[in-house]
Amino acid sequence: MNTDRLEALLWARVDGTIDPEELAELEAHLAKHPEPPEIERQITTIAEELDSLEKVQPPSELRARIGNALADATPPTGRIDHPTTTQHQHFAPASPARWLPLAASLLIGVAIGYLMHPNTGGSIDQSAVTGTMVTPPSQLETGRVEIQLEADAGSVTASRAGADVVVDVVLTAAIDLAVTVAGAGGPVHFEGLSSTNASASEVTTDQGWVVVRTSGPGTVTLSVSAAVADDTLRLQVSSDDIPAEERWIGPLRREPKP
Amino acid sequence: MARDNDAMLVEACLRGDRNAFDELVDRYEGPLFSVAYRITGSVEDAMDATQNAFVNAYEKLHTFDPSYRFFSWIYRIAVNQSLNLVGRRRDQTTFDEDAPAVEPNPSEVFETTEIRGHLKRALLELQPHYRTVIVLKHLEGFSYREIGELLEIPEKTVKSRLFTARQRLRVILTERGLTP
Repeated sequence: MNTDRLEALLWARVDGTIDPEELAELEAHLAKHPEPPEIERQITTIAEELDSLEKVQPPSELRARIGNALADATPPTGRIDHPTTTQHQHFAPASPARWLPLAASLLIGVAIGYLMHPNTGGSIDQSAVTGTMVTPPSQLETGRVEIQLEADAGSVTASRAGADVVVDVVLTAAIDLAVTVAGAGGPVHFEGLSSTNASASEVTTDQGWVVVRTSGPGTVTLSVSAAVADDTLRLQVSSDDIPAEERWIGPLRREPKP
Repeated sequence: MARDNDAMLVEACLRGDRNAFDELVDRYEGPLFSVAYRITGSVEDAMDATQNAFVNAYEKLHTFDPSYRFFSWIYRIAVNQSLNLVGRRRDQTTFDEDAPAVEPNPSEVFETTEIRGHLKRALLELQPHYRTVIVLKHLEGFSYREIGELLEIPEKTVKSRLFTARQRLRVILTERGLTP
């Protein structure tokens, strides 16, 4: 049993979510190792300490602060109807009418930042980058987004699960490509990069967005996460060899409750 | 009127009874501040996040669907407020060790100051979205499903994110020789 599997089973046992088969697998492993493995002691200790972290009481002045803020707040209007009961209605992202201006502002900001960034340059055509910045999102997609690069140069695929996004870049031609991931409502964090041509790949994280520049042929897998779980994310590819493209990836919509 | 549940208080507030919302503030001020503090690591940010959460909830109360739980809704608003603050102040990660806390009993004082202090600091070294699932799971006691609802991510993602968060936490503590 490898360490990841052992760790997963130990945490599942701590959480009480381990199923009988997994428990049997864990117990069989532990039986073969009479001395409790170090990892088991560590997990037990961490779980106990986490569970016993104390609740933090608010400062006494907070209640008055909230009261004052509420006194200045706009009272709620009458209840709106909820004809179909779906959880995402509560937390649905803002309508396009609200986020388009924000998105446009972000795009301009990112474009300026991109142009001013000291690492920007090389063989990436900046006009291609800025050219796409002024184009508002025509479609909000969820889950998996795929961009087929022109001239059979390869593809860029983004798979989103909640706040986490994995971007797979497959370049079949000898081109230079920049892939940018940015959030409309908050920063995007770099999580990891693997590449078959690591020497030709570079990651830049700045101003809340992540850029990977790479040269083909080869493959790159970029992992990022949005600080705001339900943020709308922008995926952009740009190159001086092929036309730039961008897509907008919305948060995953929750299935209606039965 | 017996206003023993959140839904009644929400309804009363929507009919113009401001005192009803004050009762909701009384109920959730503590829990929301606690979770905000653990996510932001700052008393001031936690106060801002809690205050903003209540104001936003009040002003948008008419959009709340009463077929769902009010506490899930306002928790979610508070978590998002906290994450937004962390995002804006990413460089500021100092932990307010002087935060007011529930008094531990005397027998717990030693281990609290030894191991728990390191754990709190290690928590703040995690990226915010990893820290958040740890806070919601261990400090607030939410289930995977509830965390998924709060963060609007699939339960599977909650599990994987929590696994990574715990793994990173263990690595941090182990590298510093702080686990047995």
